[in-house]
Amino acid sequence: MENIANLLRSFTTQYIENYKATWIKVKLYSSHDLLTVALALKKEGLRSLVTVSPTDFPETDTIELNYFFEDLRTKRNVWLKCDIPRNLEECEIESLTPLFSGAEWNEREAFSMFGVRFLHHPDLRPIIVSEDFVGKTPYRRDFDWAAHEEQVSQNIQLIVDAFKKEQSTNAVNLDAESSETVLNWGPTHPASGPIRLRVHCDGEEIIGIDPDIGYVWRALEFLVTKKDFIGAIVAVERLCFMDNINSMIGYSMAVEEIAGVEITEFAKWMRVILGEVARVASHFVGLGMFFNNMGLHTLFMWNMDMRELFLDFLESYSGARIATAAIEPGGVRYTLEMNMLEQLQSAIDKFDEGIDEVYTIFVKNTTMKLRAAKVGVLSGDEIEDYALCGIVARASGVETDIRIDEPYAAYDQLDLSYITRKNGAALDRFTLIYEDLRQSITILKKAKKRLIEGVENGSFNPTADHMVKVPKKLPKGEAISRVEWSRGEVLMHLVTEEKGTNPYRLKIKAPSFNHTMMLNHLLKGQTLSDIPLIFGSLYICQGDLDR
Amino acid sequence: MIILDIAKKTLRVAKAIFTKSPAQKDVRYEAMHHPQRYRGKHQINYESCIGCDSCNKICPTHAIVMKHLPFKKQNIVPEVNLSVCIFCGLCEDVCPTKPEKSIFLSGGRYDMLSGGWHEDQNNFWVNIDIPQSYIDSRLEAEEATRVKKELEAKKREAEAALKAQTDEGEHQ
Amino acid sequence: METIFHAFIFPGLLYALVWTVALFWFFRKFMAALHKRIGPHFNGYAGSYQTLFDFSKLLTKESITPHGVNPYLFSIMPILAVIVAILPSAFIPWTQTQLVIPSAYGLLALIVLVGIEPFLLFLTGFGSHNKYAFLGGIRVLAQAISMETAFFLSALSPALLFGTLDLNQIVQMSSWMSFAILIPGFVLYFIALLGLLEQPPFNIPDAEQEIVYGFYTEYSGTNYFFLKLSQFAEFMAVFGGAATLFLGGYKGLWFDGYLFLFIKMLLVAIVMMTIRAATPRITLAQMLSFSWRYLVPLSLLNLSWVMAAKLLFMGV
Repeated sequence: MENIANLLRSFTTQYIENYKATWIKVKLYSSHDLLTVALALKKEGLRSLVTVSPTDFPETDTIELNYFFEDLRTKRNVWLKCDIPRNLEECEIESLTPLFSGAEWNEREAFSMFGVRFLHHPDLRPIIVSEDFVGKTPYRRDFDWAAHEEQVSQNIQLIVDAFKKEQSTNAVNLDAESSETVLNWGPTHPASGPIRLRVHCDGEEIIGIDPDIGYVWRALEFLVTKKDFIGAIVAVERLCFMDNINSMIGYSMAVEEIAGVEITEFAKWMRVILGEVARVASHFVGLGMFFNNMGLHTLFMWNMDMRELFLDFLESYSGARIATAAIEPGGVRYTLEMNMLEQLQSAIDKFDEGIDEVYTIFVKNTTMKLRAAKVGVLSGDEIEDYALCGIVARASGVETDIRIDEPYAAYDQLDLSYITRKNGAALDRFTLIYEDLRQSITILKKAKKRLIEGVENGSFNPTADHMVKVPKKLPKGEAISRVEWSRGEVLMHLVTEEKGTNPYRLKIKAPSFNHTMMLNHLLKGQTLSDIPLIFGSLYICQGDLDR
Repeated sequence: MIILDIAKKTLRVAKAIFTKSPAQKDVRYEAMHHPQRYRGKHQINYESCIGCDSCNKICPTHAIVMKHLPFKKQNIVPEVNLSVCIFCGLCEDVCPTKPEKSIFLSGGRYDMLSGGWHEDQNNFWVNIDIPQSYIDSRLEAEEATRVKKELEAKKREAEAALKAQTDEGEHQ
Repeated sequence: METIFHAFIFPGLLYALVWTVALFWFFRKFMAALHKRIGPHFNGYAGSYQTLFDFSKLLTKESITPHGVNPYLFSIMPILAVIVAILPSAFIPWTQTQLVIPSAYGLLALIVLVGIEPFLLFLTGFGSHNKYAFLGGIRVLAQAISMETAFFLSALSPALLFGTLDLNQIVQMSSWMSFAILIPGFVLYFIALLGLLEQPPFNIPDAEQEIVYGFYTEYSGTNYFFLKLSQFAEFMAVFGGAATLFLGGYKGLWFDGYLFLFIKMLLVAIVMMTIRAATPRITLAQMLSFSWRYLVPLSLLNLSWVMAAKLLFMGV
């Protein structure tokens, strides 16, 4: 870390601070220095640019850009800020895509939502937003949503016209003699979910893929600014409803840091238990979807059988199976009754009975290996360049797991180790989801034991220790928090204003966003049969892709 | 050899025929799992509601609409639009009434069915039907307190006037 | 009069319909048991009316003809497919006395008619003005050509063993000894059957996750019902062929009759379903390499084995 601090001192900065154990927070004096600073950081080893997040300050007429650089090997991170003017003609900055390939889509998103122009970006088109928002800046503080929504039929007409134009240019661009065509592997496809891939293929061989996302765009980052700090959990939990708890943990940690509140030990262990149950529920579906894409539905059905009991536990605890809203800033929302833990135990027992069959039949399936062992290979350098995380990164040998790198809740008291594979093919990612699932169940068993011990010897009070009061109005500040979500690393950047009752700006960095960027690179030269296979192995959820 | 592997896996999968599926209940008539905290249809108790408006302010989707009653104090009660509500339970959390909350979803019904047409969605509400007898009794109680206050005020005036007279009388 | 009875009642249209409804219900319940589920439950005892309701729903739905197709080609293909699929059942000996067309070349007719079907399916894909259906049609053609070679070779091995192409005679001459000799041929026939009927692991033309629904994509309502009927009638023809050629047809344990033929066909269906629940799909390139590198040479080897066994065990 000292090297980085010395490096940064050689540039003109407004401040350089240490933020938590592994972060350095620095604000540049001028935005023209960005390219040189980024190049120097990259040479130092911080080769991943995770995301780009603008914050809009209309009072000072600036937009503050936040860049997050990470070094996945040695766990050193830099949070870089700089200001650019707010008015649309001068709102521009150098693009970092030539240095960090992972910046491509993140800068497109900042362009679509805030109007920031990135110079020398290879392909600056709008992303996520539909055609009626192109040219407007939806996430700025002065955007008038009500006026925009009154013109529903004109908006729809714009979208339809743009789609028809795109389809007609397809036919024009292609040679009539060849067998090249552009397929819409599209939103009404049985295996795609709500995403559209424009597949440019020659017979069955793929030439290029251009994903078109935004079908599930709910503008969560804007919705959060309209609710108060407690009510915002219903927006944050809808990042992806399979694993809703870990995203709520990230948001709550950021609020607690700004408010200066420390939660109880009991609440920390409850967060571990709930987080792991949600991770288990999500991994069951992930395993099943991988085989579904190859035409075999048996694994999905068997997993649903085991998953139902875990959802029964979540329902007994919080009252809902999927959108639980069980974590609030200050702790966990509900008290715990000990008979709920018995329900958890019966779920774990059923898992232990059935999981060995799953391993023998599906994880060691030769036909599946025939299809998945050589396709979709990602190397460690590509992981760092595109800032991939979670299971995708660990399958290629990069050791990154937020529960170990930057422990939160009670993970520092559990003895976790990295689980990695070497090859980075689709088969390795699938096997890693299975290994992650088994690790989660081991963690669950330990945490449950610890919780029961704590209640028995009196150190935990399950009916009173679950929540600490968080003030309704928070002071001015900002915080970032990272959690290991089931699909990767979620980084939340929260900004509050003085005596504010709502969050001023919440940026959610979604892992599936960076993963979907890889599709073009991975699928060039493969056949059409490989699209659902690789798409399923990257463990993408459209909910957090579009937010 | 792949064919041998496929044969082995097939035999193992075939063992699943002998497991009994738990999905035997007809969930149109009884639920498989209905715990105490299940967030179902709202139950609103207008008698204990103090009209503080907290549930309306915290509802994330503005599903709660307050119904006005002709009293001077504690004169609003919540009504919920079920086709907008997301059943998050925050209204139940903030209700300050003790010992039992005035609006709660825990343990509520799970089989909430509206009609089949678009217009029926506008009728998908939890409404409060307040009997006239309750309104009359509250109005009477208010009237009684008002009258009592007036009498007390008059009494105090009369006492003050009497005291002033006796003081005058003494000084004379 | 006889002909009309045979064409429409047994083993013609009505028999094919009843077979489709019953087999579809059986497939759903059996798959559900393998998946640890229940399957159709509410309509009738154990959901037996469910398939009937589904088919009648299909018949009352609108048959959408997409813009830009030739409407005659589009709508005639399913009817042709049904007719060609039901035809082979006229050659299978259902009982000792019931044989619609007794002929000395019954086996050949069976094989050829089963082999024509994929070309009709390709035309359905080609005739829909849809890129996905076209891709599905091409896949059907590639798969059918590869798998049919192996299918023909292994289906002809009983003819070699018994020295006749007449299906009735093959059934009468079969015994436990011939069953043992023909086991390798049966295994090869079964694998080629999976490929011909587009069942996993060879369900490549029908790959829902890759090309939406292959050549079925643009069909709905009555057209779709006819295509499904042709698929199940093909099942009936191919399973009937398996039972007749390798398993001894209507010969049973204590008495001969139709019941045993039905049980044997059902056994083949059960094995096919269980493989379906345990095997993912392979790609077109892998299927082609498997078929031409392993399956066809093995079926040629099987022919030589049958000839050697005939000399050794059954005399000339």
